[in-house]
Amino acid sequence: MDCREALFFLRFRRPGVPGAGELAPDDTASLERHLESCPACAAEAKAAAAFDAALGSAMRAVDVPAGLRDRLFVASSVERGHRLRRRAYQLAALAACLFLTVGLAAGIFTATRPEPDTFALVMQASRVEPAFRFENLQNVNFGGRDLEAANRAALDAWLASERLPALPQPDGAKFDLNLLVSHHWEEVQGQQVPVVLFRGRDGGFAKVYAFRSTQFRIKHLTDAADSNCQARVFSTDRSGVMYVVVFTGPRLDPFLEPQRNPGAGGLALRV
Amino acid sequence: MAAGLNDLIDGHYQALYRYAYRLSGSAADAEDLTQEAFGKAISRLSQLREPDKARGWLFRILRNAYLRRIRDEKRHRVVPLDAVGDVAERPGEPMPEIDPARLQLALNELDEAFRTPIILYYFEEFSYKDIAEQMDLPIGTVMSRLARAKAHLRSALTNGETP
Repeated sequence: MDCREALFFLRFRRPGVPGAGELAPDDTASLERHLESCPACAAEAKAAAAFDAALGSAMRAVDVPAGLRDRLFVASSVERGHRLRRRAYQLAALAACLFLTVGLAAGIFTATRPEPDTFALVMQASRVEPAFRFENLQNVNFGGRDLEAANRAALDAWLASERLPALPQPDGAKFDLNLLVSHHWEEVQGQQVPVVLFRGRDGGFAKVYAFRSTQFRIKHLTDAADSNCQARVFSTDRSGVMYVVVFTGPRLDPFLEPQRNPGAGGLALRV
Repeated sequence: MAAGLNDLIDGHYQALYRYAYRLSGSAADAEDLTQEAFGKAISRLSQLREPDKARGWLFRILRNAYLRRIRDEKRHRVVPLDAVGDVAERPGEPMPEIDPARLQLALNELDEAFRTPIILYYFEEFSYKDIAEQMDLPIGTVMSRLARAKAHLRSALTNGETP
């Protein structure tokens, strides 16, 4: 190593700071050997080391103001308070946004649900009624207890699977399950609606529609009628479901269980 | 969190204040910068994954706060060390004690790009690597800036000149 290299390496020498890593061990060893043999460079090294020490000492000679620590603690406490308040405001704003969003969505959902048009159901029943009649059923043996029990089991299972309450009982009378034709789905105003179909002893038919509040606005359903068919609205013991029975003829009796006439001791149709 | 921040303040406020003072050259600015640095540290405390690196992390926050302050002020009349080569070092007599106030005047004349590494180098005895990480610079650039700044300070302080 010559003097020029030594002076260059002296810039990165950092005596007394182990591990500062400014000079590689080989370069350090080479520099030290040169300094031992070169008085001029050794003097420069001594001056540089003195400068480093003096500069470091002067650099650190900064008086820290009395009370700074306490002021910093107070300021940080205030800042933490601000942050907590900001966080609380943010959470409150977020909650309000969520509330408004949910409310808005619920409002839009409620406003956009259709209301079942019971008169349209009546009109539709009237249109299909001539082709849909179960003719000459007045004298048919409807199967007795076995058929009724089988139909009841099937219907109950289906209602349970659809989470629907028991069918309505018009004027306290149950639908005659001997007359059950089917349970199925029909599209009503763009929604799939569960329907139970009964035939009547007079050859007509009755459809029991189950309208859910998740699909329709059902609070203000009204009965409807035309010259051939009627629709009657029945509330249920379960909120959120309304039954609408659309049937042919003037009365529901042909679809209901016959009422026993205690005086006659036998079966009699309701009038 | 409060305990963590209190420990940070207790452990580093003096070093941070001194660093801020050497950077800004003003006691009032140094206190403001120290307070601002801890204020920002509160909001970013979750970013400090390794407590051993807290000092470097705080120094970086403080320097960024300082840089934001001076960005628009451009108040420093600086010695353009970038425009010249290394200032020659002069062999001389053993260094007498340096007046800290004179040192501050000399530091104030340096551009921040040169002032910061020399403060970190002498004040906190940061390694080149540490300084490079603080300033997002290559180590070679740090070495170059340090050499120039150091030579400049030595020249200014040993000649008895007030820079």
